[in-house]
Amino acid sequence: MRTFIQEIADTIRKEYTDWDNLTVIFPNKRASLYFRKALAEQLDTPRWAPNILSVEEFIGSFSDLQEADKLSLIVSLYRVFKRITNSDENLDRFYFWGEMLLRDFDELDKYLVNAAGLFKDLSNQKELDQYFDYLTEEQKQFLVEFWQTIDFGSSASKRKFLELWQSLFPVYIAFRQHLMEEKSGYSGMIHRHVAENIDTFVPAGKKKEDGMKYVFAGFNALTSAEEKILTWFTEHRDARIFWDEDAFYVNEPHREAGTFFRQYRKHQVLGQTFPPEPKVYLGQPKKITVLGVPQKAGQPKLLAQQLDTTLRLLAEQNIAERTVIVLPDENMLMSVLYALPPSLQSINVTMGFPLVSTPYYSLIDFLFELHLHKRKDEFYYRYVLALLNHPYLKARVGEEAAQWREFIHKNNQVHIAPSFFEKKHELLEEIFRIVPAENFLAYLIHVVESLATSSDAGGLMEKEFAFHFHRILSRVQELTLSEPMELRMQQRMFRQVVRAEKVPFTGEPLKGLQIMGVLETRNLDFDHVIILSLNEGLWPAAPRQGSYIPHNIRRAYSLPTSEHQDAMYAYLFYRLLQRAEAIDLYYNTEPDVLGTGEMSRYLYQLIYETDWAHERKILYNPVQVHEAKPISIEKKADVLEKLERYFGKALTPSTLNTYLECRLKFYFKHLLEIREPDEVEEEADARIFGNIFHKVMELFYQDLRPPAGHWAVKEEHFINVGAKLERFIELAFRQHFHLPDTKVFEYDGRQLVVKEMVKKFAMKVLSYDKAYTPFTIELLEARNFTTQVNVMQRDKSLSIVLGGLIDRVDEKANTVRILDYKTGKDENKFESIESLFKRDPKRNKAAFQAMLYAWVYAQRNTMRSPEVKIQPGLINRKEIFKDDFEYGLYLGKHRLDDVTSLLPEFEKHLLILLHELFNPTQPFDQTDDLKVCGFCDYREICAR
Amino acid sequence: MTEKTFHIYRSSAGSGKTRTLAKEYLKLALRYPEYFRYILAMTFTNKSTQEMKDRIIRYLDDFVKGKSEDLSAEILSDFEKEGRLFTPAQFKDRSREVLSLILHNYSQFSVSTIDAFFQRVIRSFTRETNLLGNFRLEVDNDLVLEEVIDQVMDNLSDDDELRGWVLEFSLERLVEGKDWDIRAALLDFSKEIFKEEFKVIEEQVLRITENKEFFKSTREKLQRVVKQFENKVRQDARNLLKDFHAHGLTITDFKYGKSGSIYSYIAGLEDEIKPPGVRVMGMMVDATEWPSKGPQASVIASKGNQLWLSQLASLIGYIEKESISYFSAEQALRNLYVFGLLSDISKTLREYLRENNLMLLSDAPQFLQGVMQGQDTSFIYEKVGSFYRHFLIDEFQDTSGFQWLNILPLIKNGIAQNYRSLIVGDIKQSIYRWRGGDLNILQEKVKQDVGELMIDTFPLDTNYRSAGHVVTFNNVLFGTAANIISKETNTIFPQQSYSDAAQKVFRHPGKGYISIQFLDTAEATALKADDDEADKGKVKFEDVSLEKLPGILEQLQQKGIALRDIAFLVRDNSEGQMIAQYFMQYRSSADAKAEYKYDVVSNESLRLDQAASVVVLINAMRLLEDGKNLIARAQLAYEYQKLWPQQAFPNQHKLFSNSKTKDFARLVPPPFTNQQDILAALPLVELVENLIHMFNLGKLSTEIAYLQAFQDVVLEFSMREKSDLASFLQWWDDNKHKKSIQVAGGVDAAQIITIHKSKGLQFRYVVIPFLNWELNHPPMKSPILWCRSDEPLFKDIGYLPLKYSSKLENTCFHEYYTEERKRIYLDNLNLLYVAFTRAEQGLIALAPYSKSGSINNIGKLTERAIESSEPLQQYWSSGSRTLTIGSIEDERTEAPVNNSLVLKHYYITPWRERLQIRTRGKEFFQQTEQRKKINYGIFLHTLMSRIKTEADITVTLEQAMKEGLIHQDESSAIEESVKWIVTHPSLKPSFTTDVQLKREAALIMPDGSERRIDRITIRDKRAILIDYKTGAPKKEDEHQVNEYISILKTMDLEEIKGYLVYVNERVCKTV
Ligand code: SF4
Repeated sequence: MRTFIQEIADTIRKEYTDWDNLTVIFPNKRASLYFRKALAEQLDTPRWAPNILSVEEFIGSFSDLQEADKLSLIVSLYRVFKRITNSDENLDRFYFWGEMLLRDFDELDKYLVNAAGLFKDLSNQKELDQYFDYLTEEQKQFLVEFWQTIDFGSSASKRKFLELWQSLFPVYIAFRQHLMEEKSGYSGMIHRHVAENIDTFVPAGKKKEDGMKYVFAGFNALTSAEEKILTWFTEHRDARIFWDEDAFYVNEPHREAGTFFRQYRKHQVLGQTFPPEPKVYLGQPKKITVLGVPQKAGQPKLLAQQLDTTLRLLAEQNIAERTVIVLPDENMLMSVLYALPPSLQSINVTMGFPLVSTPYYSLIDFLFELHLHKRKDEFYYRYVLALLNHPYLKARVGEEAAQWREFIHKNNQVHIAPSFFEKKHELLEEIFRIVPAENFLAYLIHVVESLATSSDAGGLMEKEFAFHFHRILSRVQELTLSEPMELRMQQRMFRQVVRAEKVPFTGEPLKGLQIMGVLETRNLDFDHVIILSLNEGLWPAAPRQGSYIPHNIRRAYSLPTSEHQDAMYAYLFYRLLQRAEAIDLYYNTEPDVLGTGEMSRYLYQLIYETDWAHERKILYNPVQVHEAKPISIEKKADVLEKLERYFGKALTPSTLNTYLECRLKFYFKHLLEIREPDEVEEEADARIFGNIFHKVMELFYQDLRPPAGHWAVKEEHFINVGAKLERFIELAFRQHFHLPDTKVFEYDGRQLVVKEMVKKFAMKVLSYDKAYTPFTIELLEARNFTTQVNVMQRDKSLSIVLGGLIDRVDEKANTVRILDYKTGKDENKFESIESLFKRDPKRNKAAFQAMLYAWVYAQRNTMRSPEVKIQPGLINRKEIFKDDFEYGLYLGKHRLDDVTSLLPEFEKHLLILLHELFNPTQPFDQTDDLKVCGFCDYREICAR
Repeated sequence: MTEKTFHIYRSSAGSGKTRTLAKEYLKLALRYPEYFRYILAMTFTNKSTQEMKDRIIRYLDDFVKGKSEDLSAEILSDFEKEGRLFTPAQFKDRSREVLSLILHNYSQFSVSTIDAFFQRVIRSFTRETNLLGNFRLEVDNDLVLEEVIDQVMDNLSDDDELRGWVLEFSLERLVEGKDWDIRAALLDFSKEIFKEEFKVIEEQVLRITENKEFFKSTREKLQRVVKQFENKVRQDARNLLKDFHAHGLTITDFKYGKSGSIYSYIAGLEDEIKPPGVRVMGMMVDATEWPSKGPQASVIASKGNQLWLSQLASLIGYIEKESISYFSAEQALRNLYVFGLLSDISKTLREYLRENNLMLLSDAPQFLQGVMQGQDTSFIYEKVGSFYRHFLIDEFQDTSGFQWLNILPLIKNGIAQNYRSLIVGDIKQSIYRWRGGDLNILQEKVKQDVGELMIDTFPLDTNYRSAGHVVTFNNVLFGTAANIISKETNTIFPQQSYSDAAQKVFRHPGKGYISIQFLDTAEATALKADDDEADKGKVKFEDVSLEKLPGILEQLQQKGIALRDIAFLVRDNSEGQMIAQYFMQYRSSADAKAEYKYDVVSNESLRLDQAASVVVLINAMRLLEDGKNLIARAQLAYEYQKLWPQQAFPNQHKLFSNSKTKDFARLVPPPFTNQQDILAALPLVELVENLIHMFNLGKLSTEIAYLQAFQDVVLEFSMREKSDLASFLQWWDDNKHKKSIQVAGGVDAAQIITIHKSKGLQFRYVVIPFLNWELNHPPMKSPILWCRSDEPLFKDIGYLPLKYSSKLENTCFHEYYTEERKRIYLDNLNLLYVAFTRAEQGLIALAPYSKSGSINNIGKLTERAIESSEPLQQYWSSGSRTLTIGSIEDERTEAPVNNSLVLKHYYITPWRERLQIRTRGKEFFQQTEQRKKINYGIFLHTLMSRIKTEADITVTLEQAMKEGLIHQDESSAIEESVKWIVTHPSLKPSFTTDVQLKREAALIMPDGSERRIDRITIRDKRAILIDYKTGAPKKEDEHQVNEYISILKTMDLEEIKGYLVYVNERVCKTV
């Protein structure tokens, strides 16, 4: 079938000879490409193409006003608005509202509306009639409905409405005047300018005698200005208009797609340019398929599958070229590009690559965040790390970037001064410096330049992105020079502008499969039409938001309303189907959170109104419930070897606890040492509480240590504990965050909370200690509190070191206390020695540890007097604040004053346990207790 | 006609609500062709909106085609009653007309969720309400809250008071031994501020607490009361005790000793002050009651009656009089930090939302309240652009107070003009109180607000869902249970709402199956002890119940019931997981029988993060973020090797240990290791596509559904402001547990679903394994109640937050406590109602048996209700403690046929190989010896195409600046270049006015191709052709110009001069 554009080309070739004096006008630019190609189709010699213009270019050519870009228009409007309304709103907050106002002005100009009348405040007028004698009865009725049925004056929002309403006309006038003076304007202003003065712009001459010929093609929803201009040319010049219509919607008054044609057909002048009857394309047999897909990602994949089949079936080469994929949801572009089957060689995309998806965007946004979150001229580590990890910086800084990341992790560098990067790397030095808000954009531009010129890494794409960001940042910079903004505002401005920008794809525009947005399909025809996301809110697009002009006033002045937009989209839809032979319509079967976005009305129309043959399909992929495969590591020779080598180190109680909890966890964590990477510990971290607390207790007692002799602790040592603790806590913090002594230390808020908690806990512990005085400290935070046992492994005897770090061992009157601080949620009670070895969710890990240390102590001190009582004790955060708190472990209900008699049994079980650990037939397998898995780092591997 | 204009339909489970609503809609819409524009139907979930729209359109279509005759007959007869007469043909025509009008004016077809409607109104008032028009709507409160809490934590440095609150909060947790992560704890705690109870008073709270001194002075005031009272009581008590001691008396001299003697009461006041119990009060008449039978009895009796009795009486009198203030003040003090924190967090939240131009979806109703207040409806309609007369509201019991307040003026406006509106609701199914649903509105408020005279109420009393036995059982059970709850909580509320619950049977009268079994855990424990001496632990109800489940599945399958027709209803996901795990183990145990299946499926079991493909993707992403993440390396290698085993699949130990070393590279696809840089620079969506491609995941047909769902997650995430890899991973870790594939009916497995989610659904057989939830709030989850009191002490404080606890019974806030208690009981009863009414054919439930008499959980309630319902007695077997009605009937259902398509292959081809983006950047940023240079010339083509003669230069440049094409700094450099061109001796003849000029001239060729010439001027058949170049000279350039010339030569020109202009080099080459 000939496309609409081909039909026009045919006519031109047949009926027009002088192409130098021929101007062909289409609604948009894309049609020109197709049109030139169609013209060339049957040429014998090269020829100059006629003058082919978009309507925008055509109208613009008559005016000496130049269209300014949106950003500068909004800034101009902002200044005018501020001056007239005395508003103190900043540009950032004004931006959106400015866009809306600009749109309203644009529209009322394009529709040639009498602005003075429109913006008149009639809230206090009784006799409305006199004000709009230029309106029809129906239009007046709308105005009366607006102004009279509303009782103005009561509510705050109505007052606000009126206040603004009154200022709009002066703003409108002043704004236009300002632009006039600059010889620039917005599109509507230019259109109106031309439409109202067309007689003078195009010198009058007798029709057809200047030899110029005009052809208008493919128009539908004309603005009043366009309508006026088209009418003028039809009347006064040698002009023709070609409409692209179909009887299906033109002849049925309720079908909104034909709204405008029905209107123009009745138009005095334009009406004569129509053929008596519209053509009939729709309703002829076509292959229509409606495909429902849950959500978005599946649509392109299904499309690819269907398309691949089609392409295979029709081995015909250029079928792809006559196929279009329309994307009402532009966010689907990437998914579609990835899905297209490899058999498709060439693709042409009329949309661009969104700049927000580029690494430059994230880089610049990180830079904003970096500076927004700095504290006292120091950067917050998160953003420093993010930047060091950014692909662009990594590529340029190389391995060193990773080293600094590691340094920051290892040393808990929460706040990082710019000096950290001094002399480390030129680029980093440039990035990590303190910049005042007014120079911030210059700084960003500089960073982009440095990156773009510093290496060839990333290639052309990266340079192209840099180029676009350079332009954008320069634009925003110009703004900030005239309208100073805080950083946050600059960031928002930047985000706003970038979001609208796309980098165009190159491609042979007329070759291969076409991928387009809805508006770009205007005037084009394809044999195979594929539409994705055919949902309400996408096609038709959601009712355009934001006009300050109320509904009824819009209607009174014939400004477009949502019905207008609906009619336009409906036309775009049905027109695209007119000449197509195969049509695939995909929609998302899941409505969005608000319950909107259901299947598009066009699909309802298709299903319930037309009798067009069509097929309906739903994508449903069977799911399988996954089941975790067990992991079990057999102790083959290599594992055993590893195990033996491992026991060069001491086997600590917590390692054994891990083993008892889950053998596999032990394997991963201790044997293979597959651990999570270091992380910066922040102030509110639970871990930090424990670390600082331990350190503080150590410092406190270390302070009491005499140079030699007994490490006695007496009651008087506890005078002024509070002040001492303050000092030690600070010291502990310093050590934790690796702060140099030179730096003054100031707690920030989170640290203060931790500090108070540590203090509270420490005070409590020390108050019990004080009551226990006098006593002697034997060991304090001793790292090598270990002993050795021999275990038979196959035929060898292995010597294993057991033990680890003990918090404190003290002694008083034949009682040796072996103390461990617990900041978590441990308990003091256990059922039996056996229970400490039993793999059971209720096993008391802390008691196991305490008993183990007691046993280590006994082993190390075999020569001790039989009088000596060994009393292991837990200082539990969870217990210590209870009124009946007492040190020590409880076996059932009995407090254990001396565990010596329990030790043999403990040792027996311990040896069994060690035996098991080395037993080749006992694999490292998974625990049955899922609670353990809940807190295990490996639960994802185990799929628990 | 004096028809009442506001209709309330009281529905019950399965009573054909949607049909009723659709019918009412149609009755209105069919009156006049365009009338549907005036109707707004509101539903509560997005699914039901869709369903409603579908329904209405389908019915209209049916009417056109002469189908759905019963409904059309009903409508026609209703019309007749209203005096609207339609012949069947007219009715058909009208239906056709309305259908086509709806389809072509679809935007006016207003069936929407309440939220969507509110958004529409808010969007049209942005300017008046100081909202930024392009505000983002955020549905995820938690996400925002995280940011807010971080900010609060940051503020700790500068805000002493706030720090005080946080400290108090943390210390309480420290002392109580709770988890020590303030951030997480605060997050959890702060959810309070999203509750409607708080929102209603938020403004008030913020206003009162704005005063810097507020908390300080409040604390002081309350402390004074507490101190004064304590001092007085303790002083008196001590004096008494001193006197006792002075007389040599000790506790043993008093009757009842430690447990309730006069002595112990007085001594106890030191620790905790409370009013005396019955025992003490009984002894307050005569002191001879006080002593035990000991030597001191007479001393006590005489001294007592002389002096102590009256002293104690006055003390008790004082306590009784003042204790309410005291307890109230004490509770208030205890929760003062809660107050401080919440008001601070709420303040910070407000600021955060404003700063970031966000609106929380859940805030919309509250926000709208501000807009609607004092507004006349016509102005609202005017702004929104729609005018409604009729409102049809579904699931009305879930309406929140704000929602109702917002809709009320609109409804009233309609009613005032005699337009009918209606609501449909069921108080018994109100289980969304935690989301703001307030059943009081349906129960009471509607009547007050609309006016009783305007209201007609209609019950929908036929059950179209369940079989006869199920309906009658529920009728009896809930009638009784509601009575019991009414007595327990001392309120008539439940009774009222359940009084019209009795439904008529529609489907299968006399059929259906009920089995409710009460399991004795003591018995089970005894049994267990027999076979395993060592394990003496008490058996839990859950375990006993779980053991019964396989038998139930077998029993049902035996009768031919397909697994997909069975649902397990649970309270929460953790119960669900328990069941899933049990069946998983059972399936591979020796007990499993080959002829039965034990597949169960839940949202949980279809979680994305457990799908092998997703695990691969996520860990690959983690490694891009941090290549040193050893766990991710191990996991990636392991999962990938499981999916695509290499020829020599290493043993597990090798695999894990190699994953740490550089051998890792051999365990994953090679491109993954050598293209890290390229991958890391990709946007999220593209990264995932590439990873799927690299790891060959699309080839796994069973993974496709997961991949698809995961990519949807990624697509959605990438719409956010921050969508970099690290943010995604962070978000994923926090949210992965919520992401799963929706359970679809197509899987042949029994579903596990929470009762809340099951609302609105139905299943042939429903199994409730754990019928044992508490009726009251569990102590650890006590909610916060916002209370106020007119007592002088509290009058100025306004609302304050107090934790729900029986302690409140003795305070002036006791009403809040009892009210909440009623509510929570009712919530739990309603939950039972929803659960029991999901069943079509059969209902099977397991509850714990307990001897205790108190009704504190739902199982006990059920048991008691069965016991006290006469009609159920015949079905009760006390031996097995089971209620059985009817039997499971043989039925074999066919799997539903569908027109579905399956993805056989997951297509992915990186597009960069096929398509490029336009590149100008290379020319713009040039690398030269001086390190860098910015090339401003790249817009030269555009500029030159606008220049006819030298005179145009200034204007063109100015214009280009206005358009943002060039930047001020660049303009002089560019101007120079342009001048150079225009004035170049060879080119100058082209820039005069007396030539025929073509710019960017298109030459079309017979082969359909096209050439673009930058500039060509013609005079007397002599042409000058110019081609601009901004790069360095290249050989191809000349070829190109030569080609142009040779084409032009065929076109009636006599002489053609061609020039190549290299702008940056300032070279003009003649061709
Ligand atoms: S997840 Fe569970 S089974 Fe796996 S290692 Fe951790 S604790 Fe063991």
